[in-house]
Amino acid sequence: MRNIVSLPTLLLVVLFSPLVLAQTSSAPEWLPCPRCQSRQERAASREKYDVDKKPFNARDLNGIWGNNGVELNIVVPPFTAKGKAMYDATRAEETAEGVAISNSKDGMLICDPLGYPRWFAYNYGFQFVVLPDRVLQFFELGHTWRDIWTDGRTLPDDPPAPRWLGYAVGRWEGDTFVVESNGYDDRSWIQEDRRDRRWGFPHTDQMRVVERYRRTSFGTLEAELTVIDPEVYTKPWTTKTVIQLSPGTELGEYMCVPSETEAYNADKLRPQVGVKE
Amino acid sequence: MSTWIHRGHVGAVLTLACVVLAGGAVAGHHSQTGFDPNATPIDVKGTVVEYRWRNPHVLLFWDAKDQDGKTERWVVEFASVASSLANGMKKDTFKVGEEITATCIRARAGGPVCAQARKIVRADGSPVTTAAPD
Repeated sequence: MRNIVSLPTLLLVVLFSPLVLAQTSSAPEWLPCPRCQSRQERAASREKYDVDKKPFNARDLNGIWGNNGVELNIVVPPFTAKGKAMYDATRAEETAEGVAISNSKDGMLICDPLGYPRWFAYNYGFQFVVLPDRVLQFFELGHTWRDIWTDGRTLPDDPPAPRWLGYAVGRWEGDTFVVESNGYDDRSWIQEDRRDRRWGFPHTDQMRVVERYRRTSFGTLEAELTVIDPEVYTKPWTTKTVIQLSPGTELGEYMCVPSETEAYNADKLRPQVGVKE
Repeated sequence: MSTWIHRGHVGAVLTLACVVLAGGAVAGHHSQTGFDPNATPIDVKGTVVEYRWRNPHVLLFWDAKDQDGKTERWVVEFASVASSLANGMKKDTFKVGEEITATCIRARAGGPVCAQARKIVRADGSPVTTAAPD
């Protein structure tokens, strides 16, 4: 028996074959990481995705936000006496000739986790993924995430173990997503001191952080972050900022790899300041 | 291999440096210490031996001869891979064996360390797009 296929049927089969679809329609593509875009590419993406006019749901935080973190308020509250001593202890070591060895006390130089809120301040972009019981916040830098629990639990009164990213819970106040956290590992820095990176801003394990996020357009997220650590800072340290959506991007894989980092330290960082191996 | 080191043309170099260094980055990995940004740049001409397209900062190594004819292995760093991509660098921007001339602020410690590259050109004089450390 001969199988006779009509010409229209054949055309339909060919036109809708995966191969042809891949070539003729907008097939999924690999996208650049948020930090990998040039300024021009970033502007073109925002125009292409019409982020300024697109309708949005204020309670939908899903998306990739920012590309390089947020510099915390440069007006740092005065230190307590203990805080000043902790800050002084972060000062980079020096060579015999008195040259600072980069920011040698910074855990980043040996791939210690940045912790929070340093990952707010330095992240190469982050992605909010909203789930029924939590919001996941993926950070490109370090390629890691934190859980912000929204299932009604409260913060632990006495966290069983300190965490680099703390213990975080979130709730909605109107259209503002409020995140409170505690239980931080005191080895991380709040942020490197960007006035002079030989120092960093310390905290204790009693630090609490309060964040407030409000989506004000499809492409814009207002953010406020307050650090409360009375043992180190005499007043709360608040930063207000606006974080832009990074449409047309996807998170890459920026891991801090100890072997790579040590190779960099050995081949460039230490020779630059004259440290003999 | 034709190699040499001499004092650079500061004026033209500084103009280019503004372009190269205008990364606008908010944050950075490392405190760049051990050099004087106002020092007179030197040109270091040599042959690429390794282009390390890795984090935390992309590195370039090249061999150049000092005034006594002794070969030194120089190194210079650029931004992270992501920031380098954003600034137009690629995984094959430099090729092993190619000749380059880097206009460098040398590390104060005096070794073959280009603490800051103000400009890098290929053998034909064409400038290479690079990304300063962020």
